[in-house]
Amino acid sequence: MAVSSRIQKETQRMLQKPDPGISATPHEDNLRYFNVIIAGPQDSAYDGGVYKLELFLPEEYPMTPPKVRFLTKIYHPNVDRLGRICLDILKDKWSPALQIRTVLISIQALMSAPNPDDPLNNEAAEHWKRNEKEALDMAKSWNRQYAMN
Amino acid sequence: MSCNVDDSDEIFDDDDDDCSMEVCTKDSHHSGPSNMPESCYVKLTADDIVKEQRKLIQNVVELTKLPGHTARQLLQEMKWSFENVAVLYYDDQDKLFAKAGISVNGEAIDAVAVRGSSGSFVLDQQTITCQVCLEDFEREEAEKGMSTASGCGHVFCNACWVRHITTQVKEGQAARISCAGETFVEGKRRRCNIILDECFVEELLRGSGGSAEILKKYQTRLIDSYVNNNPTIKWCPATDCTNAIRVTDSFDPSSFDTSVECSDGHVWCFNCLDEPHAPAECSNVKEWRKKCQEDSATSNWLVAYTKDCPNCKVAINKDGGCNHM
Repeated sequence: MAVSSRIQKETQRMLQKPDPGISATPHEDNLRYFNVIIAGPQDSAYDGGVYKLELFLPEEYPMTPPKVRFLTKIYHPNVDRLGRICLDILKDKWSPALQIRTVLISIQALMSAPNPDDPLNNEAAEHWKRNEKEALDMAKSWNRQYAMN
Repeated sequence: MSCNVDDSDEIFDDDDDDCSMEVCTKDSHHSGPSNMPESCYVKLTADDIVKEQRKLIQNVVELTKLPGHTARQLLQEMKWSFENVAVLYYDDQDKLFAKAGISVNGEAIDAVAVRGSSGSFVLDQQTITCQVCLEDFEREEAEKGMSTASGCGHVFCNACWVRHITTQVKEGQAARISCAGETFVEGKRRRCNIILDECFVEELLRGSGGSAEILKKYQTRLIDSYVNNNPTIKWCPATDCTNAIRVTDSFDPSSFDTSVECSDGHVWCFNCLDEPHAPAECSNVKEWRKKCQEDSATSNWLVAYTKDCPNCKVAINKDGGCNHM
């Protein structure tokens, strides 16, 4: 599939000037498919963890948002057990002026600031609201178990 | 009949009622099972709808001295009630504008200095990058080949605008297509809230490689948005019928018979869009339909696991996802 010059430029800039704690590498045989790694943000329950994600740019990109999913298991109120992410800019608040890197920065920010009031994983969200400390401990233990090795 | 119809200057030509509204008199064969007085509703054709819409827009333009496309946005937001627009306009203009997506909500990112009205702009820099395709434009070619939506100052090349608008129209948008730019709201990046005005969209679709088909769809949807957003107007539910009915202030949704007849003689209940069903109530009809259309196990399932859409009354089963779905 041919890739627009916008995608080429974005890819190039991400490889040349990566944002701290974020890397995105396109597949050799499909330049619309990216292997993403986000380092768990400091001062969050995911500190020290390394999170793998996959990112796919649909045909209409950038008119429609990229599709992003966690591959590493994560305990978070806005991520479900399949790794799907509830983030408004990936849905109705998408703008074609947003980019892959801005999306990934937003996901990193979401890891730092879970939003249990807008849940995707209802169990986790209720856990967060009921007892935030306990929920964070659970997130930390998942972090050790799945995101560090 | 005691409906408050203004019948000052027209002599009625119907034989069996006192309706004198211009639209319903052209159809005088008042027959069939419709029992609601015709003065409680007005029959509209597609042309009437366009005219009504224009007239309302004109009224708001006269009140506010704002351009027509802005007036449309205000009306759209206030469910096409001139009274509601007028009340909020005098009460709290800022709130009204913010609701309709006219003022900038948040801090625009990458906006360039803009002078001039919607569409055209004057650039202060030598070159500008379209933040959608990431191509650089020299000042001269930018002033010809790029545009800005009014208000926010986001500038993109016309080809990207057209692609953005085309995608939005294909996804079912028309009256609320927002700017392609981004803003900062509460420290987070978001889509820009400015709603693109009608003239801007139509000019781009006509002049910059947009397709005639998309333009047509856009215009049809604008009419739809008027009807669908206006609780007093409904399309005739008959297949391929392009007429609509607008009920007047004297329409009582809880009255015994709420059936209406469109200009082509289709008779239907204004509340539930089903066949006329007096003396049964709309809810009876809906239950009855569920019961006889399906075997009872299916209808039990529908009752247990679905909810009616508050807007269009279609049965919906939510099987996952967050509240942004």
